[in-house]
This record gives sequence, C-alpha cells and structure tokens, in this order.
Amino acid sequence: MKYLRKLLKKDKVNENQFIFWFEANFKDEIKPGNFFQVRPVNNYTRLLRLPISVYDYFENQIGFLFQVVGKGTSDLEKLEIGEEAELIGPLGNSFTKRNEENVLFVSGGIGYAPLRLAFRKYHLIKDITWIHGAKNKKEILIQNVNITYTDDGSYGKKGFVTEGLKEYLENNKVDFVYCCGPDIMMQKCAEICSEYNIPIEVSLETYMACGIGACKGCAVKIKTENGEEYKTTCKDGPIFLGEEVVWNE
Amino acid sequence: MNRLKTKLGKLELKNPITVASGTFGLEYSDFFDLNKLGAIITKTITMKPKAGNKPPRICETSNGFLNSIGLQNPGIHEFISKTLPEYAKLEIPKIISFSGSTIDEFSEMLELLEKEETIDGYEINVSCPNVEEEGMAFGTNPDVVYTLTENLRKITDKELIIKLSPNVTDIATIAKAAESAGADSLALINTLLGMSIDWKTGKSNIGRGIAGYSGPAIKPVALQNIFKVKNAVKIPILGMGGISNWKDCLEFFYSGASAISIGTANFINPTITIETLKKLDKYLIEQDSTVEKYIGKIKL
Repeated sequence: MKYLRKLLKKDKVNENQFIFWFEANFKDEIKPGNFFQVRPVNNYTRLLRLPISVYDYFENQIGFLFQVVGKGTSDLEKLEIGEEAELIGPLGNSFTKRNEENVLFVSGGIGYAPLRLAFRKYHLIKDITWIHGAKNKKEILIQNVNITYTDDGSYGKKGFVTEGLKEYLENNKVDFVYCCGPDIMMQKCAEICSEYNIPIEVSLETYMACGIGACKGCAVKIKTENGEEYKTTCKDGPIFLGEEVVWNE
Repeated sequence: MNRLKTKLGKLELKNPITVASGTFGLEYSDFFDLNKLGAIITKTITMKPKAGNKPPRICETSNGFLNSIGLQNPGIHEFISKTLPEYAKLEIPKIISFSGSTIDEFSEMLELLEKEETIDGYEINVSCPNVEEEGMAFGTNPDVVYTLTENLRKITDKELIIKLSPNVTDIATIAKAAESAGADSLALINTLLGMSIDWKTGKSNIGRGIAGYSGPAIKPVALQNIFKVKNAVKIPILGMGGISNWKDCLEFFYSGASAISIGTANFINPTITIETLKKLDKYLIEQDSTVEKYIGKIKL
C-alpha cells in the first residue's frame, strides 16, 4: 500500500545518521524486520525509492533510522518537518519471535536499525544482551546496548563486534541471535554461530527496484531443499537464516 | 463514449495502457485493481526454469535504469500449472511472453500454451539482451525472425506479437520480416544496451557487465524506432521505452503506436499506470478526442 505521510520529528544521532519520525496509521501490521520504500514528495532527485528498515513504530509514529550515504539519503535528510513523503509498505518478511530464554542481539553500525523494533516488541521484558559495534565514538548507537566495540577504541572495547560475539558465546549460553550490519560482518557472525550451532537471523540489504517481488532485481542466493536458488531480498527477505545465505555470491 | 479504446491486431483493448514484460506482476494488486489495465503482459518464460544472472542485477543511472535479470523464471511447466491459474482470475487480456533457445523450442512452447484457454495472445521475446541462448540471439536476423514467426503462425490463431530489439542495424527490415510471416502486431522497443562502472574501484555495477537499459532516457530512441517501423509496415505497434506519464503516451501514439506498455516507470511509482489512465482520459475529454485519432499522426 502507498501512503502519503508528514514528517513529524527529526532526531540527529550524529553528523550523518538521523531518525525521522513520520505520521503512522497503516492498514497492515508492522512487524520487526519490515521495511518501507520512502520517497520525499519534493526535491527528490533519484528515480528509485529508498528501502529503509522500520526502526520503531508506535500507534501514531513510525521511525526510520538512516545514514546519509548518497543522493537519495541526502535528499531525504533535507525533508522539513511538516513536509510529506510517500511511504510504500510494510514490505518484506520479519524477524521471528523466539521463546527461548537466551537471546542475543548483534549489530554493526546502521545495522542497529531493524533490531530496535525486534527488541522492543519481542524481548523488552527479558534481560537480553546486545552487542554493538561502530567505527568510532561518534557513530555509536547505544540505546539498549550493553556491550560496545569501536574500531579505534574511542568508546567501549577496542575491536570488532564479531570478536565480541565470539567472546560472548565462549562464556555464555545463547539460544538465538538477531543480527544486522555490513554484509561482511553478518557473514562472519553467521560463521561463528554455525560453529556453536546457534541459529542466527540476519537482515540483508541490496539495491531494489520494485520492492515487492515482481522484478527479481534484488536477488540473493539462498540454500533451499532444491539446492541453491535466487530469492528476492524484498519479498522472500530481507530476513534470512544466516546458514541459508550463500555469502559472496 | 469510450475515448480510450484501441485495437491491437485481433485484440480490442478498452484502453491503450498495458504493462511491459518483466516489470509487473500480480503483486501490484496490492496497489490497485489490475482489471483497470488495457492488458497485462507476463514475465518471459522459457522452456526450462532459469535461475537468472549473478547479482548485482540492477543499477539506476541518471534518468535511466540498467537491468540484467537474466530471465529468472520457473519454466513453462510450473508457469502453466501454478502461475497461469492466478492470472486466469483477471478479466483483462492476458498476453504471455516467452522465449526459446531454438526455433523448434519456440514452437514446442507455443503448442503447450495453446492448450490453455485463458491466454489471449503471445508476445514473442526475440530481443532480450541478458541471456546467451534465448532472446536477442534470434531477433537480430530478419530471416530467422521470418522463419520463427511463420512457424508460430501455423500453431495459433491468437494475437501474435513479435517484440523487437533496437540493437540492430535496421529495425524496419526485421519488422517487415515479422509482418510478412504473419505477425498480428509488433512490440517495440525492448531495452537498449548499457553499462555502469564504480569510478572508485573499477568494478562493474552489474554482475554480468552489459545490461539492458531502460527508463526515461531511452524515450527518444523508442520514438524514432516506432516512427521508422510505422513507415515500413501496416500492422499495429505496441509502443514502449521510457514512458513515465500521460503526455509520453500521446507522443507514442503520434509516432505510430496503437497501444503502449509501461515498464520501468512501475518501479518509480507502482500506481503510474492508473494515474496515467485517468489523466489521459481527462485530456481526451477536454480535447473531445479519442486515442485512435492520434495514432501515427506525427507532423513533420
């Protein structure tokens, strides 16, 4: 479904990361892991829309956490409060709600975004661990996070979040992992979880056109019972089990 | 009075707006009632299932779009058993796009499809640039197009549309070959050829390298191809290539198209087809005119 929604609030996380809050009220239920295609009505210079994960969702507000990396996100950042954007969604599948006791969240950089709603909807009351990694102190997102890593050690522990995951699994019982971050980070996390035989759900991101499963442009190779098949990130995903993804395809 | 009606060969369309093969599917029913379209053209199927090309498969350029999907499709047998019954629920004409890897395979596929009553016509894909064996391998040679069309004509009485590539020396020759062999209408243009490279790393932004190029940037190329073909043949033209709004539709009618397909624009706006339909109708009412009055009426 396509909606026209006003921008209500802009939170600046740091120089190039923002949380934009739009009017909500959508026909379909929003689930953790879903995304929307976002397009400012005015002054948008790209053809295709921006697929952005839902960061959080209350009854009257939907939040998108994004990083300015190119033309599209730069145009979005310029949207003023009161101005409108077209939102198409909710799109994609969702993270699974797990009933196990020991659930772990692992995020890298802006990958924090889709995990936020999963945490709040599924595991808020539990005492969960969230390991987050970023380049440096300026790029840290720390809400709900209890273990942080920065590449340069300017905040939390020095090192990569993947090292943090390994260390945590060595010393703690974990039944399930939710993970999002750069591809290389998710791949490494999937490999580590596989060694410990722990299921891990990852949220993939790729260039998209239609966003609804029609064009097959956002193909990702997935292991299935038929061997390896190309599935769509936008409709079959973006959430996949780490062990199913054929990384580096 | 239906100002929007138009004839495409044997097909009487209630309006001239169709959707281009590969750019649309039943998923769009989330946005609007698909029965409002003039016709629907399905994603190209091949005899055997095709996995499609290695990602990345798509890339936006300035005012255009590169795609190298590689005809990912479940193959004709799964299409007939699983996909077609879903399309059968639509009340509008259903045109099935297909492509074979040999001339005989085209005929075999058509024989299978002819058994399905729900199909109203066929769009023969001899112009896809993203695969090795099917598609453009056939559409660049007028003799091959002639033989192929002649074979298919013997198998079906339904609307037979040959989809032409602009990546040829002389599209008019190919068009004439298809007409002589009995095609009911021609669809043009399929995608141009293009590339995109990351200037920092030298890496191609498309996995396979060369891709099909579509979107607003190719509209002038589409128009000149339609104009050339309109002056070479008598059979009607289904025009496409960069249409993004109702005014573009008029340009295409003037150049010689009897109906049009909207493709890449669906990715830019999933409701572009019905918005275009509404605005076109409004314009025709204001002008007290009909679609048919514009076809081929370019003034030079």
